[in-house]
Amino acid sequence: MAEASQPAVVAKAADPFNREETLTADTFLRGLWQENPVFVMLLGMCPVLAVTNSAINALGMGLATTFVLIGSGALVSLLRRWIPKQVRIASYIVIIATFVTVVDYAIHAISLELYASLGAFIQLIVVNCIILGRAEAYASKQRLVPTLVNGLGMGLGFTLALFSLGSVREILGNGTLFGVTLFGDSFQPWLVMILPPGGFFVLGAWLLLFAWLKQRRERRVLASAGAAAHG
Amino acid sequence: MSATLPVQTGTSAPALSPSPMPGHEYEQAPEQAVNQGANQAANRTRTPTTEQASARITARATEPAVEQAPATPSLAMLLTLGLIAAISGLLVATAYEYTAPIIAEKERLATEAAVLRILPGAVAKRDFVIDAAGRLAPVDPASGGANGSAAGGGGLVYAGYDAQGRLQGLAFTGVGSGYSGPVEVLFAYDPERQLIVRSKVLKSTETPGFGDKLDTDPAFLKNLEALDARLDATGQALANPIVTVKNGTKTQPWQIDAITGATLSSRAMGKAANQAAQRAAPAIQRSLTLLAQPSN
Repeated sequence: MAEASQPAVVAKAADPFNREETLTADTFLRGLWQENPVFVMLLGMCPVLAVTNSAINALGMGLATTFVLIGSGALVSLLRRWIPKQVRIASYIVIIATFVTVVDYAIHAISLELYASLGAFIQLIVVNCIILGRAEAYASKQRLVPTLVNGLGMGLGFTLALFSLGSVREILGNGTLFGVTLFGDSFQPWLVMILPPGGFFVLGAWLLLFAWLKQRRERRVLASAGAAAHG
Repeated sequence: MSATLPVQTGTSAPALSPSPMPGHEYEQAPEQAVNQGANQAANRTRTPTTEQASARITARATEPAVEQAPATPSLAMLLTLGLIAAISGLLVATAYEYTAPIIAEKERLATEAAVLRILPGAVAKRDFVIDAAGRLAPVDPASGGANGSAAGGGGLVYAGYDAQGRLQGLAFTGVGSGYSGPVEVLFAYDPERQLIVRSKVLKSTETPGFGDKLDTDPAFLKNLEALDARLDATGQALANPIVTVKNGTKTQPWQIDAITGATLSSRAMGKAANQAAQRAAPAIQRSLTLLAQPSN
């Protein structure tokens, strides 16, 4: 306890450990692409597979998660100097749970149907590892504005991923998008797509596409490097 | 065990310089972690009291030069957690205060829309509860929300009236357990002919493409257009309990012909209809005069 009385100047001097990053476009874009929580980091698979059986569910879940990411990130970032490291996880969980409860009420007030179809998965945002991961790895070390921007990027990246699953599953499994019928009566919906296995199929197909794109890019980089070396 | 760690890694011990604020102490951690990962991890998981105790032990066991990362005072932790809990309580309470009336209004409108849709011709509805004597008692519209929730979801009986105040029919909900959870259904009841004349699934988690035929399959819905719900001689229960039978074997008006491939969901519909009619039909028949009074 005696250490607490030491002057704060020492703390200032110790600031080379400061890892605050400056705000760049990358702060935002990282979550959308290079560090996309679903397609690159494979985080939060439970809601990704469970609530993406229609485009509107996917969008609702994604936006709810984005709100929680931004809100909890902001509060964690603002309080980062005062949260002792021993109780930081407990603090983050309380903060995250607060925003999840708020978003739960909000969705209930906005649309009863969406609330009913998302069911328990709204409350389960609390245990979504993306959010705790962002709080621990980013918000607890960064200033407010980068945290907000990064949270928005990550949230939109998550929403984008959910939407790309949800829209494909709804189109194939129900012949509709946002409830609007796309095909004639002759279209036989692939029911399996809106059942749980369909989630795995569509996720697998997207991951395959992204892996293929990444490999192709790497091969091109290699090829051009080789050409430059020989030239 | 953890108390002796700083001694064993004595060469890197000076890196553990005391830092005055908990936040800064944490920010330094990863740099130290490069050469002192194990030591740091041990520090992180230790509670303040053991940390202080181990600091004393370390000081006694080795030279006083070995310094220990300072413990965060318990008071600071309590204050932080208290502050966070207060902020969070405030946010949740604000959100609840703001959304509760909207949610209640939306739910009321949704119920009303469902009741009026299932009772064609009705333009107004009145809510009733089944009291202890097994009769219907009107729900005061002013305290309707409170009473409705007290009655426990499926407890209410809704009466639909046309513009002239004539009774158009009654609606009540029933629940039956299906393939993957409870199926909640709203039924329309014709008190004169004692028939269930329509149904609408309110809540269901049945398999899409199979179980949701409960609400869409025309052949199945025909079962529920004139489903016998007559009372027995005592007026306490249905003369013939409503049951779901195997596809194509329906012979009686109180039977429901199951959908092929969705037998369990069809049975849920039968259970819901039976449960709802057993509960509501006797009370409705006892209270016909009350129901016949035009709404005011």
